[in-house]
Amino acid sequence: MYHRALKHRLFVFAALGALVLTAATLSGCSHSKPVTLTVPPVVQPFNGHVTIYTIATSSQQQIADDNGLVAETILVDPNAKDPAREALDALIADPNSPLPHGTKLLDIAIDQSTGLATLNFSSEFKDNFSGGDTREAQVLNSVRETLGQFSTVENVQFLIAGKKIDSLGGTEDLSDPLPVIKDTKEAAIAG
Amino acid sequence: MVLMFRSLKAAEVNLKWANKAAALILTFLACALTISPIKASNNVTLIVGGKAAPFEVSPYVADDGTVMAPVDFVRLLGGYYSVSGDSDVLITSATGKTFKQSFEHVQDRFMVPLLTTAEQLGAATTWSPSTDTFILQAKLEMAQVTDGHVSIATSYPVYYKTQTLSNPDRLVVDIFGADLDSPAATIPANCSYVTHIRTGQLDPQTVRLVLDLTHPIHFQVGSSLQTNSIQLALNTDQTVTTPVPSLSPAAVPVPPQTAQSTPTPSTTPAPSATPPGLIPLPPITSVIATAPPTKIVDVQYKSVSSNIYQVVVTTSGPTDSADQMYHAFLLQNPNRLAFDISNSEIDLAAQAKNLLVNLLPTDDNSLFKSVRWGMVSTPQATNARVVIDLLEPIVYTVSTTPLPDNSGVQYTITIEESAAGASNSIAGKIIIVDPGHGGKDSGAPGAGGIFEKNFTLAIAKQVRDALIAAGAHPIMTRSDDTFIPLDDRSQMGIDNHADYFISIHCDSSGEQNSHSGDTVYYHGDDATCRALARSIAARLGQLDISIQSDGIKSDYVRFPGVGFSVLRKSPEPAVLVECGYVNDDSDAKCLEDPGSQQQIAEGIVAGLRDFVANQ
Repeated sequence: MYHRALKHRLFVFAALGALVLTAATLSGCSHSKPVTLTVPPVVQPFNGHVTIYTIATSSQQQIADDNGLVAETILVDPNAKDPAREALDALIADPNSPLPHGTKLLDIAIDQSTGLATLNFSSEFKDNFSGGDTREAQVLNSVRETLGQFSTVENVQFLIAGKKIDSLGGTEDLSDPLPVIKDTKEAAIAG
Repeated sequence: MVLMFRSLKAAEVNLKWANKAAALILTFLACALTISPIKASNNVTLIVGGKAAPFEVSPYVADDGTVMAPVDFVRLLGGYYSVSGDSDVLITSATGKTFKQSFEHVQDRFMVPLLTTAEQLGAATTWSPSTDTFILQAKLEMAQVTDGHVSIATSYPVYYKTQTLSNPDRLVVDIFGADLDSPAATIPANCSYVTHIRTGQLDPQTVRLVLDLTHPIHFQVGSSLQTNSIQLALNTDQTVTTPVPSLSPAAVPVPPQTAQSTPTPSTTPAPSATPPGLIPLPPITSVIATAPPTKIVDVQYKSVSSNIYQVVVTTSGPTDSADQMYHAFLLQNPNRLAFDISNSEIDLAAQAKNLLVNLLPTDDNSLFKSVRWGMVSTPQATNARVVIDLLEPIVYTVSTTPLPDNSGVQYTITIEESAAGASNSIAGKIIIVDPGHGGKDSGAPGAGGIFEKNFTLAIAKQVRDALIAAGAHPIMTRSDDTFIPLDDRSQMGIDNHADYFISIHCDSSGEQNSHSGDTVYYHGDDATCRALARSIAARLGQLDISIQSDGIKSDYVRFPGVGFSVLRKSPEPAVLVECGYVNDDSDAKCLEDPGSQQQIAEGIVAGLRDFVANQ
């Protein structure tokens, strides 16, 4: 887990540049793992650490969840105004991302009053999807879990090129929002 | 004394064969004179056991004039089939005879030549080109009386009914959905108390055997309600002063039907207004209201075998119209069998207080839990009614035995588990069969360009056929390569008031050959769905196929908090069966095999039956 996190950290460093590197060095503190939903929910300020959910490698199978996903805590821009977007972009960019190749997050809008996050993915999200029911679960759950660490997000609506779709792979209905998956043991990230 | 009816056949002029020949000639002429006769005959009605057989893909006339039918019809003749190759099915008859038959794919169904297949299974065949109707009947093959034992053999299992008649004394056996296959005959019986055996075709669907007796005798039926070997044990040591009622099956050979309208695939009405094979139950209003009162003086029950029970109702009073005086019928909610005696009274004072308790069967195989009685008034008459409270779907028959000196009648109500027996409590159930994916949604890609959607449709159709054979009403969310939105699939169950929802999928995960096995998913922590999934998984685990069973899982494992859409949105008990991994070489090979597909489908249906039977 440590080596995997380190690898990702390096990957994110390269992607985000010197500013992120400086922030990461300064932070040097505890990795705030995904987060929240205890009663009352504990919320901590965003400090650049986010958790993404990627497909477990062969050496990670023992620590993967039932869908073969493993949580990775990485560092993104701690000054980012939209931590949820930073996390999703990092998820998309990860080499072990379950999201279909070429997927881009065109827009993200979070309604603070309702907790609904509306994600508008590029058409590759649907067009390049290939796999079975397990892969469909991996894709959707990785997004639901990644968003679940943010205190302001309760549900997620998937859009493809601005439009709702029936389903990604034929087992989960995407015409309506899905609840995000929250880790009830950790504090949520304000965002 | 043995009658071998086959031996008589060659020596006689069989009018029916003449009719068949004429029909064939007419068919030929029609083909020759009509531009598109095939289209005109595309919907052929198949009559088996006196009723139209339901098929989702109707029998049809092929280009060469051959009538083709879904191979599933062999189940109606007591046989079964398995896929034995790319173009053959292996058919096994009720007597164990096996033969191969080539098939054509029509809407992914196995269509086999009807005439040759039916004849191989021992059926007499009649083709009516004027009504595009094909009638199959069992042949009466043999009847014999040996040492007080009557044996009657038919070419495949049939329903039958027995009764005794007096003046003169006779024992009558009516065989439904049967063909005499030879001229009517009267044969001397080499037996001290059976003088003759007479045979005849009572009506187009019923063969009657009459044993002329020298005096009234007891007899007991030792065979099931539906059989190809009717067995009667005669007892001459006693007279009918305390008659043993005949165990006289003559059930209605149809599965229970739901009251609501459901899509019955490609069923057309039988040509006759009254389907042969049904017990003729005269309307109660036919009884003359001025007849002297009849009294029920005794009600008893007994267990004949582990799955056959009898309730014997004895009346006092006139016996002249015994057959006309009763009316038996099934009622639902709760399930019960009502038996009315017209213009009658109840006189059970001697034992009324204890009968109900005493009548309660106590063994685990009981088909009913109590018997009760009371008076029912109608505008025409006041009737005594006996009610049998049922625990299982049943078929029944009523036989009448006059008591000596015209002193009364003994009505024997024989009940047996319905045609598919213990495994057929899904009869009449509406079941949504949902082949996953379809159309633009191909599902997981398998080897050789075959997608998940292909496997799911093939298996789902086998599930559908097995359900039809069990008397259920399956409704497919798709029957071809069509895209159906997820919401529409579960909505079909809601719109049709479905009893169960079964979704068929295959999985794919990770690298090639990294995962294998089948899994049955239930929704969330729903206990009913979980029990259903467990039941199906248990059956899948017993299959002799290379795909290993991986048990059951909650769909929350796949999609935490929401589960699979089709399960979440189905109010009826629902499961999703992942039949194997298409990216596993071994699983994929098995999933491609029609024989394995059939096994999986029958395992799913068997699991559903088990579950329903335990409800």
